[in-house]
Amino acid sequence: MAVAEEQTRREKPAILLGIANPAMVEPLAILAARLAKGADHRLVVSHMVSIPPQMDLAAARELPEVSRASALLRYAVRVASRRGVQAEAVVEAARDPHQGLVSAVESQDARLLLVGYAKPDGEDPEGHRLENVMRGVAEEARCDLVVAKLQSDAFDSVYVPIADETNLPLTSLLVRSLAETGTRARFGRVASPDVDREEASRELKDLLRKYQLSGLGPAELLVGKDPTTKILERARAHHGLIVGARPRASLASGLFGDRSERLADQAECSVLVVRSHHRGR
Amino acid sequence: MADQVNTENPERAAGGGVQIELAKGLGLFEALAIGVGTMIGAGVFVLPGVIIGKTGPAAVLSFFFGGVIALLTAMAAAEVATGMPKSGGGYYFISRALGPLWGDIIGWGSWFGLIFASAFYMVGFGEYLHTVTGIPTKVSAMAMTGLLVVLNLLGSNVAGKAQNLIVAVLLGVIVLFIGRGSFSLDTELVTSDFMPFGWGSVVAGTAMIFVTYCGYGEIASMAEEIKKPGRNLPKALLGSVIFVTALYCVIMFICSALRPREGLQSATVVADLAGDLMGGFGRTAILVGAILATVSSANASIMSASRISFAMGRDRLVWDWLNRVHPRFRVPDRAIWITGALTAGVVLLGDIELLAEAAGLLHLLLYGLISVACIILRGAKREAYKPQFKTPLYPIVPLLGAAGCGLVIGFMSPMTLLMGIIIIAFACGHYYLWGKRRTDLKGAWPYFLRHGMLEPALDQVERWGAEADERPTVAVAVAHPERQRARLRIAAALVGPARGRVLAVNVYRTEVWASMEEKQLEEYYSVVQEREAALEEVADSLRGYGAEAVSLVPVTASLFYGLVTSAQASHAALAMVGWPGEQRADQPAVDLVGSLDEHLRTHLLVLRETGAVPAQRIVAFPRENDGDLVIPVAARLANEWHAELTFAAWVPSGTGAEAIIDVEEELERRAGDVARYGVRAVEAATYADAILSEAHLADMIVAGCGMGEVSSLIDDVGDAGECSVVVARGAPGQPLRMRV
Repeated sequence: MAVAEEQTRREKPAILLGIANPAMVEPLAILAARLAKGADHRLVVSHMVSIPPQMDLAAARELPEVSRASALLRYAVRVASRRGVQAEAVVEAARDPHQGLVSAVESQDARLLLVGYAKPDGEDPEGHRLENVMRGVAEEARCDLVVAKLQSDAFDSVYVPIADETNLPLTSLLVRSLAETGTRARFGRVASPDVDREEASRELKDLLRKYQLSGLGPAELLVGKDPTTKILERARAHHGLIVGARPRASLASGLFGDRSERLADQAECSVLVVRSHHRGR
Repeated sequence: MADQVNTENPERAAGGGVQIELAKGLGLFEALAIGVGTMIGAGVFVLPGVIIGKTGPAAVLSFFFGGVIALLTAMAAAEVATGMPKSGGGYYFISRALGPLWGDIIGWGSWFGLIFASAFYMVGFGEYLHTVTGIPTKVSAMAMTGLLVVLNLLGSNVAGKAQNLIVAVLLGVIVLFIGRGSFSLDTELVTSDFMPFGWGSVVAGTAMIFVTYCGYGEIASMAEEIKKPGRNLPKALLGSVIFVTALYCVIMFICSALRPREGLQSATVVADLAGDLMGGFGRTAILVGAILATVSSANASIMSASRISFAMGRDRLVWDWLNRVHPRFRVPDRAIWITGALTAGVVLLGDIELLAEAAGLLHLLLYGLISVACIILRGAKREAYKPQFKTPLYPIVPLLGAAGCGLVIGFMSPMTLLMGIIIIAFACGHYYLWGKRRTDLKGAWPYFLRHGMLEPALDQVERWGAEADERPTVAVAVAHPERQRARLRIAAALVGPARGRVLAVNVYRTEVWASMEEKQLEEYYSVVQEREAALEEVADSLRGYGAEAVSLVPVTASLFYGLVTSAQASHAALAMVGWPGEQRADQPAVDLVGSLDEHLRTHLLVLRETGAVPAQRIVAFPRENDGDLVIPVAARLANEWHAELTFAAWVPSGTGAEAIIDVEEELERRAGDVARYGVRAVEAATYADAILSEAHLADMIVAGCGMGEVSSLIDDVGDAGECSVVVARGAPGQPLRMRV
């Protein structure tokens, strides 16, 4: 690749798609391609291969896992290519999978890390291992994080509940990127019955205007004591739900926070949990 | 050498454009913890009693000398590891510097060194466990060896993950011991009979305790996994060695000052002393700490040993059979089995002193050769070797490191030396009978011989043997030597290595020579004396380059004639004048430069002396019509000043990538055997724009041009900011003979 072309490529921020589960490759790659296209980011697809300490890290090149990962990534690149996005593929050999993802974020200078997620089933050790990996990544990766629990690759319409500003810049980027490729959005805010509705409604409009979301879809104020139930009800009519996760300071109890965790568990549509990186970037 | 250094960038796997990246997961703290954690293992608990018995309180010096040698070699290791941060550690550096035979020797040597170290830790573990449970030392040592082998076969890193915790516990226990011990010191015990067995015993003691410093090499061997290795790796290597040396010396001093020497000669002396100081709690804490430390150190050694064979396997220096990765547990099971079996065998056969010495011997050999590798790799001046940390006082520091290792090896017991010789003989036999036919690895030592030894020697011979009439001469127009040192330095740097002459030409202008009367002649001679005196003031700095400064005061009507006749009469290879500017006596006008360009039959340099001289970053623009002047001039200056040299070529804006690559390849071809340079194609609208764009990045530009082009080039590059510019106009058919 010519130097100038390489420089131009590097100047674009990257979306790093971490792929672990072969079954999730296609919907994740489609989503990542839409985000990359809409946001004019470059797309890097990556798979982690963990290397035991008894092996020299460079010996990873000869491992069969690397060949398998390469095949998986080539498939993801083809899927993205069908959506008009030329992705790069990187197999990351690391001592720990979460360390590999964190290292890939740094080496690719990724602005956004997109990973798939499935709640572990009871005693499934692989599921719990992945959850631990995710926890490590969420704590250490120096970039914005989007965790996708996908039911299908359809994203024609999304419901976006808005609580506060914490994750709104990232949410805005996601919604605008999806809107670029045809997704319709609906924004909602759940207010408790005792608040001033006009005030709450004005605040919601101000937030949408501030983060350039006001023209992308209708906004509504919902009134109820249990925001989770209200959001789940509204999300039924949509293909996707975009929810913000709690800041990383309160990671101890759950990966995303209680409400986001419940929404991800109980929603019948695909869910994107977003968490902004607040340090340094 | 081509494959050596490209580690920062991920590599492309064959087919499909999928890159493979090795995660850099270790920061400075983690790397420091690896170094300190691997070093503070069994040694500090097991060896103090043994070493004090052999050297007395001077054991503190044995540890200190060990630390000094470790520090000297760690600097060399830091340089080579930042120059080529690759997996494989010492084996990789040494094989790339000294070639496959030494690679083979050090590969096997490191492997056996780690086996001896594991066995030493295991016997230490057995000794400590014996004091707690009464289980015979060798039985528990063998059992724990077996357990560690099984854990490693399962791909477990339990002991590795626990290492940071173990190190924290150990440091806590040691600090407690030091803190409590420092209140009960009897310094009389140390000072009254400090060195009962002489200096020889101190050095022999260093030979025995060097095993306690073995861990820092582990940092270098994981260079490929360290974030920002150029910054973090040297800090981690040097920091861990300094910290551990200080800790060891304090512990040894306290041990020596707590009890008389006769009461210290036991493998569990630290625990015994802790029992004296803090009762049962102290003793238990040290015992638990020592047991954890021995297990953790042995596990780290077994893991490292199993990794060495991969690096050797990549160079086809060991059998593929050995590097099989177990399909289920994904570990090199055969390498681990063999390491474990040999460790167990050595545990059975060796006593603790012999094991410590044998491990120390092989590690000293490793670190000594890393120091030699450092000297060779830097001296070889290969493009691929660009260390981000440079050993200070090169080559003195690595030479001292290598000599220190050799000295300590010389004081080892004959039995240990015999074991070392057997291992080296085995490695040599394996190389000549098996490896030599298979590997295509080549060391950098021939380049070292050429660039590091032969060429400097030839230069020296050239200086000694150059005949007076063959000495190259540069005629430099100089009016005020003290203010125009830059051009004199440049001239001296160009001809100094060949013991050439710098002819400082300062024209004495008069209308007609024949009309000079006696008074004028007196004035002339006084001017000559003044100018000679002025030149003498700067002549010393020119002699530093090897050049002789000679003052010449031609009497003539114009600067032009003075210069031309001086250059021709002295058979000067080069003439040098300053940049045309305001009309001053010592600055030629543009038309004078134009006249020189047109009529002077020698090479011509026009210097704009605004930047720093000596320059640190030189960018040279060779041209097709520069009479092959730019490359030798720039290379000679860069060589003399140890400056960073880049050969650049102007390409018109919008030139395609392939054409740019062609231009860069052409530059490389023209540079020939010039050592250590970069090439760059500079896209710009005009040649002068290309020069001006590079002027922001360099201290000095050497810009080539052909006859008749000097004045216009000077006009175009008039404003080059703080950068010096040397316009080099070659004389066709007069190649510049200059060794570069």
